[in-house]
Amino acid sequence: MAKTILIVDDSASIRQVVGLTLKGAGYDVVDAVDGRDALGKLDGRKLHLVISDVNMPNMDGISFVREMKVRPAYKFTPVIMLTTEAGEAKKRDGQMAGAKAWVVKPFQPAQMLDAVSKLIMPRGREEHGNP
Amino acid sequence: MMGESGRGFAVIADEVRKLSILSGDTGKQITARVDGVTHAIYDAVRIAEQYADQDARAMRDSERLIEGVLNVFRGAVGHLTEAATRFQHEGRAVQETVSGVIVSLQFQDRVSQTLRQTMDDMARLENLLDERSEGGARGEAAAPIDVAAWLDELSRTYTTLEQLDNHLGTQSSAPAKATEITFF
Repeated sequence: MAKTILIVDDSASIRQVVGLTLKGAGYDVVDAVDGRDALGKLDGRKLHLVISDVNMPNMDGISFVREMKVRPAYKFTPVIMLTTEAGEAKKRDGQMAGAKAWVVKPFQPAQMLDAVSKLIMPRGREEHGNP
Repeated sequence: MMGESGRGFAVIADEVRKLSILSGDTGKQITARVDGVTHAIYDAVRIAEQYADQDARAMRDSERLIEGVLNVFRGAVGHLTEAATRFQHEGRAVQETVSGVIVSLQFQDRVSQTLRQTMDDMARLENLLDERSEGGARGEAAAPIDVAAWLDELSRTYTTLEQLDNHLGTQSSAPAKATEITFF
């Protein structure tokens, strides 16, 4: 069964290129336009990974990840921050919020897929960490 | 006595003669049998040789046929391998093109984001100038714009090192080419 990945980005073109990359590798994709929208889409949904932008309207990516990690069902869901931000302070914020990787745009599809496959949890852990 | 012996000998001789005749017949029969067997063997050998020739011909024909089929097969496999290699190259080229397009789209998105921030800042400046213009019309003295504070505020909206580099006139980062990934 295909693994499901949530993409959170306010840019439609980024959602499309990330979605295209992931779907091409056999993943199922759900997308959200900002952090608030993403929190609404978490409800009861089984997710194997989240890829989130940092700077977004309504709710930024760091706040979203922090909120998501509070929910027991998503405590162990790995998160990749995908952003144009390359500053060390922001990266630390992402790490503190619970992100597992920081990818600076533009990404090469092959490297993104490599990072995704490294972070998607093995089956036993995944069952524990998701609804 | 001699008469009896002579009769006895005559009987034996007669028996021997009969045996001799019988033996001669048997010899003839054996000779005939041997001849018959010899002919049969010759016939069998001849037939076997004929079959051997036929088998050899059939074998040669089969070998030619198999060789022909193998040649056709080799040709087909060669064409298929060639086509597969070509498809593989073309597939790789398409994949590279798609990757290039994906990277270009992200650059475009990055430029759009920077332009959006610039436009927002220009709109903010426009609002400020409108306010000052209205204030001037009302006879209010306009305080000078704090350019440093304005630029500082602008710099807080930057999301890329390139924007900061452009702002500061520095070169702190190489242009992004390869994906930069940090694992925590």
